[in-house]
Amino acid sequence: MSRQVKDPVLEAYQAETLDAAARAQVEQLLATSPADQARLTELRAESQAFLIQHPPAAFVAKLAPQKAKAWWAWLPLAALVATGLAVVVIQGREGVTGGPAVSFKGEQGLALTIHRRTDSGSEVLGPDAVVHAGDEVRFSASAPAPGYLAIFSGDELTALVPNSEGPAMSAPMGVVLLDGAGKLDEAPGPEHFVLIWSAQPFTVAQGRAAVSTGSTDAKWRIVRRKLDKQ
Amino acid sequence: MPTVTQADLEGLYRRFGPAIYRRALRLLGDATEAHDVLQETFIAYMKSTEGLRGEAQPFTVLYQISTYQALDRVRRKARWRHVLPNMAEPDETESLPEVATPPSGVAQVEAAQDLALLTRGEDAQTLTAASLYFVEGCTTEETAQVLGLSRKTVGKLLAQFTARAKKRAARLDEGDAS
Repeated sequence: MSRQVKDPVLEAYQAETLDAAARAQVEQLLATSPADQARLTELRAESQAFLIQHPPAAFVAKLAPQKAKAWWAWLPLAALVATGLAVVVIQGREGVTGGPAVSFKGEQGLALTIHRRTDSGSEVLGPDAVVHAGDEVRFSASAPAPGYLAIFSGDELTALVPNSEGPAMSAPMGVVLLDGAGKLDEAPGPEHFVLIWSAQPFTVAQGRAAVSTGSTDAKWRIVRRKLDKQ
Repeated sequence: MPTVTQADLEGLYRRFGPAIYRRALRLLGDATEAHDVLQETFIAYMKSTEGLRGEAQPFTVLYQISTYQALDRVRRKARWRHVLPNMAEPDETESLPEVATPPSGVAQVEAAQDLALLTRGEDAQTLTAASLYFVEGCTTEETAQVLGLSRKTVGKLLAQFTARAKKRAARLDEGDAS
């Protein structure tokens, strides 16, 4: 007799996450389907064997906390001035009209700055900077008006800021040093970063979709940075 | 903010780890990569609970994260084949016909690769629903049961995804890999 309950549903049943109606439906099917009963027994046995081979304590011990550390509490103002960001901030304060009709001249006022940790603090990475595996970086962003932003990296548009799926980060006008830092991996090739900004709230998924599809919707502002890696 | 203790993680892993591993293995077809995805899933879960309000069931969250992580890996090696069945336009009621004959074996692997390319930029919930429906042959009702959503919500979610996926599929058919 063929099976009546697909594996994903059996897994959810075994995990006790089905609602009452779904659970009752599955139990009714299990009661009349030896094949599904056998599969459920098989899944339970597989789970027990897996936990013996890969015990919980050992697995959890391998999970290092992925929390960002505050490597440095502040970035020297000189670094911001050197990149012209302070100038952008001044222009932003003068130019902001507020409300939905925010106007931009090209990408003026929107900037993504990448900072690399050094022994003495940090340095701003210019357009010709070369990075290396293991370099520790964090970001500051500059926008001419209050809005929302997200930063992605790589071809897969991995979310860095915020570093999980959900709403984009709310950001005030001006320069914002963003929480979180990352260590560059050993994958060969340049590092790509994308800052996406909108005056309206958006989700990380929406921002990623706009970047990946090259959206020309006027509500988005996008800045891309590429760093050569050796 | 709620935090996840080591005891919490061990408990979650004991209850759900094997199922999450099986999920990754089903999508990737490689035990080593499946173990990597299992680890990445729990790490991502730890990060997500730093702001979690406790509304979503842990298994559902882990399930979606693992699907997302696994298909992300599949996407890196995927080659467009256009083998996914039943990518029909949604009708006015936003309902989808049930997938008649889901792919299996090698066909399922190829279908997963196609889906990985079509789900670039999609959120974890949409991606998981699409995987369950288009690759694993679950009905909309079964997909709703696994994700803890209503059938109507799943139908709407899949209908909207199908509309976006058809456009991506057309670009991929033209040889645009972006």
